[in-house]
Amino acid sequence: MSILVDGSASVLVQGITGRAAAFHLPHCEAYGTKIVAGIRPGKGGQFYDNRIPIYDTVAEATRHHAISASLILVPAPAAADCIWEAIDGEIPLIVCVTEGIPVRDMARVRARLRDSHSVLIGANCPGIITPGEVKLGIMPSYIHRSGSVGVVSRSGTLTFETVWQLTQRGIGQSTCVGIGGDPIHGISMVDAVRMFNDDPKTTEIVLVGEIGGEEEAAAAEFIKKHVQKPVAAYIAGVTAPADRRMGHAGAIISGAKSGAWYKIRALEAAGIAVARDIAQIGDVFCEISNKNVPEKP
Amino acid sequence: MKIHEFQTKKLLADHGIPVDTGVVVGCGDDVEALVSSLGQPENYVVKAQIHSGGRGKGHFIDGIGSGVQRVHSRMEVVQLARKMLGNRLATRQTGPEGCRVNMVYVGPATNFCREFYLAIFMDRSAGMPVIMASSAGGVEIEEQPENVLREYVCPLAGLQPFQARKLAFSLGFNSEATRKSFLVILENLYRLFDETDASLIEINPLVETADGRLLAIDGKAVFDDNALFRHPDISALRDPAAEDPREIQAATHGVNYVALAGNIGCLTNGAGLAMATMDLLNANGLEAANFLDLGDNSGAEAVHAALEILLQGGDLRCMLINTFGGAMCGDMVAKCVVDVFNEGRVELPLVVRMEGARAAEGLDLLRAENTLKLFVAENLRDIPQKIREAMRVQ
Repeated sequence: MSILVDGSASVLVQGITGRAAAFHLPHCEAYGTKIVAGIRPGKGGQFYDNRIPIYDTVAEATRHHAISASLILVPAPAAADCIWEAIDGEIPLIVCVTEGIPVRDMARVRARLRDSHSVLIGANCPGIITPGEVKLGIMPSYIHRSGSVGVVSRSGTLTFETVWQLTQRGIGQSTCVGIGGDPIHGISMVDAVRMFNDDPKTTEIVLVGEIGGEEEAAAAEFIKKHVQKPVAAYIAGVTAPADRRMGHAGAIISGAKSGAWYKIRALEAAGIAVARDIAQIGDVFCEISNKNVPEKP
Repeated sequence: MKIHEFQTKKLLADHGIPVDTGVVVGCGDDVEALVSSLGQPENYVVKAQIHSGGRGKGHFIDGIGSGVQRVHSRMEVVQLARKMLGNRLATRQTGPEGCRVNMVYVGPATNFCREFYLAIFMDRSAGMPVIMASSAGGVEIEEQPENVLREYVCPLAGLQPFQARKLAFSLGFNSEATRKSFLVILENLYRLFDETDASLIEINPLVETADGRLLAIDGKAVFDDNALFRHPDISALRDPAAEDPREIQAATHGVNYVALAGNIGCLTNGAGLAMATMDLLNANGLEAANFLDLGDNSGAEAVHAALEILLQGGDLRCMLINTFGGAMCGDMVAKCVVDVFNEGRVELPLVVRMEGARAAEGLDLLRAENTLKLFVAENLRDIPQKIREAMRVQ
């Protein structure tokens, strides 16, 4: 079990002939991800790696294949349009890795997502992986291990750090999802926590946040009310200066509630153990879970 | 991207929003000639142009008062403008060292009977633009949040006339003529916000004159960096003098860089890891000289540029490479480090922690290079210890 995606997923790749796809698709396929079709307007009728059919439009691809998820690997100016096309094609799960999409485009995408048949992960995220089954994204495969910890994060590299610390202690993950570093994006931290809470396979949750926005505080509120599973957390940016954008478009302290300490206090007030620095997330997790004695990897 | 007040006003005026008309003077300009073009107003207002809020409450560090001043005569204007130019203005946003003033706006002081606050910004939680308005303009809006009206705008449908009417009535525009001009201003403001991919456009204050006219007498605008590629006209408003040259240089290579006060240069990939690295150092009594996010897709050219920018920072005591590559390969980073350190004969000790794609290959490459003062951290936790060792050697 897992959230959002499992090994049975048949995957469409939008931007299948691009540079990002050339690098990442072999890793996804090696991990077991079933890629059934790709999109590249103007290259319909050709094949990726002489095997996977390429179509001009999502509509055409969905006529020929039952598609359960789309992985979007296109440059920023075209990305929102691709997400919109996937929503229009009623693809249940859309994962957009692209960094740098204009906020206005994402505001429109988010409005379009309401009453649609789709769930969006990202953009500006590493994607989603259900270890041992399927990988839709750009995360290094070897750092993951199948298990029962749900990981949700706003940052790609911090997801890697967190997962790697768990795996090194022999602790596996049910699903790891990067919700993205943009101010307006698809599923929220609360959405991911809710799904992990409802997933019988997930026994603990790790939440990785950063400065900017109020999602972590909202997640703290949700966890306090609805979640019995142990939760560990880390928030990046306690030393970030105010009013400066720290890399991610969404990582900016504007107002007291978006600062790291406010989030840390909100999480702690909800009974969540917060690691003081990223090097401690694995240890903090062991303290709150029943996994004090790590199994041998 | 931020722009100056006078640039914001020009955009407002171009979009049919009435503004007070003044002149902008720079360091080399003939202040007297420019100011005389304003005619003979009763009073003048002289405003320092820097990318910071709270200019009216700020002060020049050599004590010539605040960044926004009202004066009587043309002579006073000229004197004040000359003093402001080249001087540093400190506000609560700039910190005590302040920000150098390279341009000053001079305009006729406007007499008015009421002041309003009117702004549109992208509300990330709601995922849509929100109009904020208040009948208590002229002051910092954060100071009186309870009086602020909010109207959320559907990003697909745009601003609806009823929403503008609702705000107009709530703000107390009782005369029909004034109400109509407010509706036009708001409609134009939303169009400007939407067309330019702004993340914030603020008029504070929007004033009502005794004869019922509405006028924007101060404005602020911030634009979405991610959307600048489709707005060459907005990009052209960038003032490089108002930004850290190293940040501009980094941005041209797709690298995010923010200078900080410490002495440990940090090269990291990913915004989250870059921030977490700063925090990790700080928690261990060490201080980062910078935030630097390479981005996971960076190539060798970006890594080269990033290293060179880091080495420009004067009093570094140590360089830390902390990467966890998804797409970015460790051996590529290592090769860049070797090239830059060898070419520049850099003697700085180097602490490296590498994980992710081709990290082992990267570490092997670095270890093979005996010119480097290399300290390899086994994991995150080991980084502070290795930095201390490295600094002792130096």
